[in-house]
Amino acid sequence: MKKQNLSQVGKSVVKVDGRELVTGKAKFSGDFKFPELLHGYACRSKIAAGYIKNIDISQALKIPGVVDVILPKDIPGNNLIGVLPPHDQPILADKEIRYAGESYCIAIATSVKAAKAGAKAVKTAIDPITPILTIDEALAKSARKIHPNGNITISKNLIKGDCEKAFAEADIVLEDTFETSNQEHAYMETEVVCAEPFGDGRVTVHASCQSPFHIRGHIAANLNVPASKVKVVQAYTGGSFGGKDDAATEIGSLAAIAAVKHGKPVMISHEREESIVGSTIRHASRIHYRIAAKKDGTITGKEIKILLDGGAYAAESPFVVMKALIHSAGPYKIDNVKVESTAIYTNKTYCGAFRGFGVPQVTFASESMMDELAKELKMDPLELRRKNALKPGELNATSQIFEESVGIIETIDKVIEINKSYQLPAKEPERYLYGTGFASMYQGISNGAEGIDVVGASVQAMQDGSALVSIGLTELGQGSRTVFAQIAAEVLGLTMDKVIVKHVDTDSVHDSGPTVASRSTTVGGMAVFKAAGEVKKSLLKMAALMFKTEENNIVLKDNFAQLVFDEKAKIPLKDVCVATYWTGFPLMNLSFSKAPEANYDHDNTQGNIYIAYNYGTHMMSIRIDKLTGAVKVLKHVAVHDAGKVVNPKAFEGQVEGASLTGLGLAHLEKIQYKDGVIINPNLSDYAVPTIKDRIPSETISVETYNPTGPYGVKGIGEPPVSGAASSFANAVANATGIRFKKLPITRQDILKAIKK
Amino acid sequence: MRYLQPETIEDLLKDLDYESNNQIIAGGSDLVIIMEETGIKPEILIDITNIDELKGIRKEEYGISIGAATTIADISSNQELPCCLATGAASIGSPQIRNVATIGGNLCNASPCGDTLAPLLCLSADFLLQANQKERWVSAENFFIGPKKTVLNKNEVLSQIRINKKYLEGYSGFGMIGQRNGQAISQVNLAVWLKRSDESGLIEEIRIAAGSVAPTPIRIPEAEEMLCGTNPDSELILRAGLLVQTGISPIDDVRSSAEYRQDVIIGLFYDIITQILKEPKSC
Amino acid sequence: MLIEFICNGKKINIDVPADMRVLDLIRDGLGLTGTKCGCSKGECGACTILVDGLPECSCLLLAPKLQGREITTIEALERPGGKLHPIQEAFLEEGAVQCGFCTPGMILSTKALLDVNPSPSVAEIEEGLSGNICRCTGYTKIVKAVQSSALKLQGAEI
Repeated sequence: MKKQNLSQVGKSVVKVDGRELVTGKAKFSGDFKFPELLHGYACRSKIAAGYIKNIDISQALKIPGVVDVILPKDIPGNNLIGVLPPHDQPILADKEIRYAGESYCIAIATSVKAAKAGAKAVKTAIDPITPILTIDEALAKSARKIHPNGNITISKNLIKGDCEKAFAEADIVLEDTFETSNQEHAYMETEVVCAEPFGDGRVTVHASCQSPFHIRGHIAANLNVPASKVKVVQAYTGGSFGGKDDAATEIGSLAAIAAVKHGKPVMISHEREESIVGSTIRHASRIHYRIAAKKDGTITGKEIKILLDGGAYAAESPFVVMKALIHSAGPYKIDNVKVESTAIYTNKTYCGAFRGFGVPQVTFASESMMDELAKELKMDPLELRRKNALKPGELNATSQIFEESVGIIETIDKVIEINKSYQLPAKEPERYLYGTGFASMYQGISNGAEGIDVVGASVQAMQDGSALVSIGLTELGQGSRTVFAQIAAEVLGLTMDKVIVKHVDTDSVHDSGPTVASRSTTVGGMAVFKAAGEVKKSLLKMAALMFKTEENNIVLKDNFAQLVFDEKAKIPLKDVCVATYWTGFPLMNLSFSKAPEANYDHDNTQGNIYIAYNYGTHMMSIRIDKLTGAVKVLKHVAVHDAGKVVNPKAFEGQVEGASLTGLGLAHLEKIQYKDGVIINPNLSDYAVPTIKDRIPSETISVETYNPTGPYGVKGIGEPPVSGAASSFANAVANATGIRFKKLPITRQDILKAIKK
Repeated sequence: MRYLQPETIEDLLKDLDYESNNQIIAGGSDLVIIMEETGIKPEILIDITNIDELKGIRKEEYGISIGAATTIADISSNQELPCCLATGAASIGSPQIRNVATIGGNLCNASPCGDTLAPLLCLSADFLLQANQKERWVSAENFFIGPKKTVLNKNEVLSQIRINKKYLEGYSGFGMIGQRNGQAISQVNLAVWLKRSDESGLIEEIRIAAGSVAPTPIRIPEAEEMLCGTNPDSELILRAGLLVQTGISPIDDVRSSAEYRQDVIIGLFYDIITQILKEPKSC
Repeated sequence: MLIEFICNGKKINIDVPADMRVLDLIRDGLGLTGTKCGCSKGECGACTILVDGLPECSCLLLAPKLQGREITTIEALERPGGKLHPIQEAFLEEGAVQCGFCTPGMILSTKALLDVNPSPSVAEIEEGLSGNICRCTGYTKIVKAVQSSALKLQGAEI
């Protein structure tokens, strides 16, 4: 790890937006007050599939307080949501219902109560059709087509080397099939928007969201106006994890349409049940996995078939398909890889982006198979991983080579070291089973093959010696605003209290693409780094004049410009800023950071895709109660190569939070359906982890230096989900001697299996 | 909607009698959710939590009297009450729920997974149902008639829970399991009370009640019979546990399969009995 | 229905429908939006307020329940002059705040816990905060924040 002399980057500074959060003063979307505010409440289908024959809103309009019921015909532009082709999702279902909970009209009223009553009074005639609820039903030859083009959303292939040959020549071939279930984001704040019409013909939409510019574009299209007529302001957002944008677009458009139509502000706030059934969830999956290996443990081939159950609409399925495709072989050097990744339509809640984005599902399959292979070869599971792990300079599954910042072996070595000195307890063996599981994983940073990956950020030095940072990436709790502040402070020699990071609204920051894919710290950070760097040039130029010396004799530090060779010779930066302003050197700069364009063969998915990968190895030790199936996590270690860590405490917070979400996926959380209807749409029967379910995650960073991120950073938001989920599954297998091939592995599943 | 807040039982009973379309509200933690979900609002809510006589846990000559409007939090922290009831109350929801929910509410809501139901059946509790000019005592055994169904009439209020002093002696325990560790709704719960002979140490009397495994909380007489008159070792406890397993008739529902309920109750039972026998004073 | 109660030390007289939830009374009636709505079922704790010092879910309370009571919302904690309450400081310093939506409820549950149990064990902390769900932090830093709060409050008393 390159040694860097840093003062802000690398420090556990307090969150820059923390004060307003702990005092309750931060305004989330539902906290705004507007005079004459109207409220919207949707009518949602109670069945999973059907043809809409008639919608009668006459009784609804008679309910006191109800001013309107918006129908598909009231949408001025396209009745479409969704950020990606095939653009198959209507804002309001028009002719066909494709999932239980889908909305088909929305009542607008002077109070939430009235809007709900209005929605209830709408009389609807929907002819039910037999819903398609499983992958097999969807793929059956005679299956009804959920969409005109059939039930396959999209399918992608990855082909490297010659798998047929590898399997034919292998000493060992193993194969198995794994499944994972849907998972609900369960962010604490549900989807909320408030649309405010203005006299100038523009409409402002305050939204709890991740990607304000995407949403702006879609709302404008739905309103049939140019994007400049819509302003999206990201309010403080109570968690997103990938899940808010599709729904925010949907209700943002509806609120805007109603607001413009009635000339009044309109708020739409999802109830918890609506949030669960009516917005995206994680794709369920079925993964068939084949491994070919030599006797000495060298993996020579992997053939993988991924089927993602994506629910009723495409949403982000195309990208999840890609990400699952690319990551399914794991962080290993394998010469021959053949993957087919397909998303399928079913008549269930549509699936989209959720922290991990396809990687948790394939990692579970991949890492379960690694343990099975280790067992077959009578090899230590960590040794097997280490033997095959990628090294700098080697081709990964997409034949991309990274010369630097490939820390997977370092993470495995760290876990080997920890595991060596860890003694799994053995108390009360009649009552308890103990086991330890490992998992290695990787996650590509930034958009990769998902499109143009650019961030624009501006930094402006003010005359009071402070700096204002403006960037289109959003704070969702992950601490990105703080990271940007740290980077700007580092470059400009400021203390943290001197840096302000703007709130995101589409009028005042540069479109920086979506806040996804763990890209904020790298691509976003790089833009801030560059912009701050340009401002620094002006300040140095000015300070040089003030000191009457060369620019390279000056350093910016602790809110001062000081001489390198005489610490006592310093000028307050605010004085430098004032002088710079009056002299006319630019105090503000807008810079762009563009990830190297993904350059790859689209048929075989071979080539350069990501700017970097985060690598990780997790270790989880558990105790299982033989009488109840209850699991206690005794130890959890998450070792990651995330490049340079900008904010250690925030880094730990991300690892701890993502890991618990991974545990939820692997153990506690299960969306349950009956005839395609979610029967546990609440935070109790859908068992989101409480504080009593937390796991003792220890975060260890093995820092490498990533040349494509400022100061060597990569990202950390998503990877621990996969590591925790997969190591849990392997721990259960180790403790029970039984391989569970479906997530979640609940207490019930464990007890049922071990009692046999 | 009218909201009445009587301050005496007398006024409450008069309100109950006089007003039709009324609904009693205690803590409201169940009722308010139902009102929000269904949008149905009773014309009149009669709040019983301002009546001092309905609150509090009092030692009486016959045993203990608990006011129906006593909060679950107060029940869970009371040292005079048998372990199984206090522990059952402590398993309900979260601190926030326990500060608001009442024992009367838990009983009258009569959800099969209510955690005070099995303990009170186990302790052979009696409930006082009062109406204007009338009152009757109903045993816990007879109070519940189905999931969310009790014998409480429209103009009646459950005002008092009485536990006979016999059941304040001896030792009791409670256990439950849910889908997760915190804020867990019982997939299965179990309450046990027993009394051992001072001289022989053998179990003189034992009562076992299970919840969330049948339409109402139920006793398991077969298991009681097996353990009565014994000083059970692990093996006997497990064998009795098997009788508990066969003595219940659980269903599949959103929280649990019937199979899991059947399987897990043995472990619960084993733990409770072992705990009572080994460390009877700990609660 | 006319209701009289004390909110954050201030006497309130307000006429509200009897079926108004206290959560809505606080947010809309009093304009105090620090208390959040997460589920409307008492399952998430985002709406936690203190009623006579006890934590309760305001989404489950009907307005008349406040008659004659004293409630505390998150807005009461910040000290005059803008100084943060030790619990608020602790949450910030320990990194126990990410998106912040659960934070007001979490902080109030912490206050209620420490008011009756100034030196709680980890198990007691977990039990005391078991009604507050967080999806961001994984809870570990929240536990540390409560421990740090306890120390700060003890220090303050000394």
